[in-house]
Amino acid sequence: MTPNPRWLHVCCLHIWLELLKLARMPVYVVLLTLLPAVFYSLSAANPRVPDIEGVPGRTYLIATMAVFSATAIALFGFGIGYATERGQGWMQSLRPTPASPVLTLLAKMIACALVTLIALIGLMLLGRFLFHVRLTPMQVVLLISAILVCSIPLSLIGLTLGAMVGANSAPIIMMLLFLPIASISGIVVPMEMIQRGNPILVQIAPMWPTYHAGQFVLAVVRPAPVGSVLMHAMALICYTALFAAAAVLVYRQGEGRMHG
Amino acid sequence: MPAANRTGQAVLTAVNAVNAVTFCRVTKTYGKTLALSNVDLSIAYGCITAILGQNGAGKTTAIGLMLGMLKCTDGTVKLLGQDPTRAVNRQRIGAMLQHIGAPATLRVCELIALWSSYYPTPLPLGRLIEMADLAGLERAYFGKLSGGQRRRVAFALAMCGNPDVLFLDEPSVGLDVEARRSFWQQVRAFAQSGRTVVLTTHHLEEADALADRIVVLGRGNIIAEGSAAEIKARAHTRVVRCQSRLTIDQVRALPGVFDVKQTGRRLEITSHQAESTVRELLRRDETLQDLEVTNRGLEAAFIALTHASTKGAT
Repeated sequence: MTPNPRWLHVCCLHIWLELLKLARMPVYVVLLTLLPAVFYSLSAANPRVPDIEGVPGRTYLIATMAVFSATAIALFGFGIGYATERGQGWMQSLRPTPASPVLTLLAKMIACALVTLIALIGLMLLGRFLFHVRLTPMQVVLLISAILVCSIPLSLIGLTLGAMVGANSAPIIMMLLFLPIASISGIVVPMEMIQRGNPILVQIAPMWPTYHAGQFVLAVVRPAPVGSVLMHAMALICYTALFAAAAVLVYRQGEGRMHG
Repeated sequence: MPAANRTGQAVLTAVNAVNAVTFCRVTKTYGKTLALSNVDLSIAYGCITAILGQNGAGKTTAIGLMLGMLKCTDGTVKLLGQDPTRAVNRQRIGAMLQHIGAPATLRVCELIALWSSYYPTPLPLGRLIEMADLAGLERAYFGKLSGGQRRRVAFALAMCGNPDVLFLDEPSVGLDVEARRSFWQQVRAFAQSGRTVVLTTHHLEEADALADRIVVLGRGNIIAEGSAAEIKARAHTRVVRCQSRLTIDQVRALPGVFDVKQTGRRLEITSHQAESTVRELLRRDETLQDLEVTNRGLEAAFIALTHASTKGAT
C-alpha cells in the first residue's frame, strides 16, 4: 500500500471509529481508564505511603498503574474487541474492499495507544492535583514516550490472543491471563513486596512482558543503570517481534481455515 | 461513472479485457469436499448474471473466488482481466455478502463514511441512503437494525465505490416484498448504466426478473447456462394434468416422466417429453379426461435440471 493523503484519511477515520466504539461501551471505558485511577487514588490516599525502591510511593504507582492500564487496554479493549468483531464478521465484511487488513489493525493499535495515553494523563493529573506528585517536564515526556512504546508489544499480545480465541470465550480467557500476570509482574504489587512474599515469583517475573514494560516505565521515575534499561528495552523489542510474528501466523491460519 | 472514465492502468485493463469475470478450469475443494469441479465460466461486461443452485451447489464458493476471498485449488480466476486480490480491482467492485457483520456500536452513516473512504470516487451519502432506502436510519446503530435493514445497509456499502462490477450474494434474503421490488429496481437501474452485476439467489423469480443470463450450478458443476427462456427450453419441462385410472407407478414408468403427484383421480405429471408422455397416456387409458399440457416457469426448469444433475451423479 502506497501511503498517500487518502489512505492517511482512511487510517484517521478508522482510529476515530475505534475510539467511538470504545466510548460507546461505558463499561469498558470505566474498566480501562477509570479503574487504574481508582486503584491509584486508593493507594495514594494513604497519608503514609512509603517510598518504594527509593522512589516516593505516589510517583512509583503512577508508572506501574500506567502499565497496568496499558495491559488492560491491550487485552480487554483491543484483544476482546478484535475477537468480538471477528465473531461478528466485521473482518470478513472488509475483505472485498480495497482496505488493507494491516491498516485496520494498525488503526486499532494506534487507538489502543491513544486510550492508554488518556489513562496515563489521568493518572498524572490525579497525582499532580490530588496528591501533589511533582514530575519534571522531562519525566512527563519520557513517561508518555515509554508507555507508548510499551503499548506496542502489549497490543500485539492482545491482537494475537484476539485472533486465537472465540468471541464468547475471549473475556474469560483474557481475565484468566491478565489477573495473575499483572499480579506477579510488579505492576500491581511492587517487586520489592513480591520479593518479601515469594522470591520464586521474582525469579520467574522476567518471563512476562508486563514485567519488562513495568521496569522500562519505572526507569523514568527511578534511577536505573543504562544497561538495565537497555535490557528491558531489548526484551520489549523481542516480545514485539515474537508477537508480531505470532499475530501474522495466527491471522494467516485463520484466513486459511476460513478462505482456503 | 463508466469504466472508461477511470484513470490509470485499470482503464486499459477494463477496455482490453473481454470479460468481467473469467473462470478457467476452476476447482475448489474444502478438505475432501468438492465445492467446484473444473468449472469454465465467463461473465461478460454490462449484463446481469444470476448463479442459481441448490444449497451446497457452489454458488457462494464461486462468488468468494471471484472476489478473491477464496483461493482456488486448481485453475485460474480473473476479475477484470487480473488477479481478483489486486487492490486496483477491488476499487472497481462492490460486494454484498450473504452475511454482513459490523460493530454494533457504529451508526449507519459512520459505516458508509468508512466504506466511502476506501474508494477514489465514492457516491454521495444522500444518494446511497436513497438507493438503499435507508432514509431515517442514518444515525441508527448497526446493532439495533433488523435483518432486512442490515441487508439494505449491505447494499449501500456495496454501492459506496460506484462500482463497475457489483456482486450480490443472496441479496434479497430478509427483505419484505416492497423492499425487494425497490431493490430490484435499483439493480436494474445500475445495470442499465452499462455496469455488470453478478448475483446468486434462491429466489428463482428474482433471477427470472433481473438476469440477462442464468448459470445453474449443481454439485459444483455448471449444468446449464443461458437466458431464462433458454433454461426453460433446455429443461423441456411441461406439466401434463389429467384424470386417469392409471396408478402413479404406471405413470412413472411412462417416457419422459420424472415426477407425478396425485390428488384423487387427478394427476399432475412433470415430463421432459410431454408429447411422448401424452401419446402413451392416451394409448394406455382410453378413459383419460381433462387433459391439459402447460409450460412450467423457471422454477420447474431449475428443479428439473438440478434433479437430473443429482440423478446423473448418483
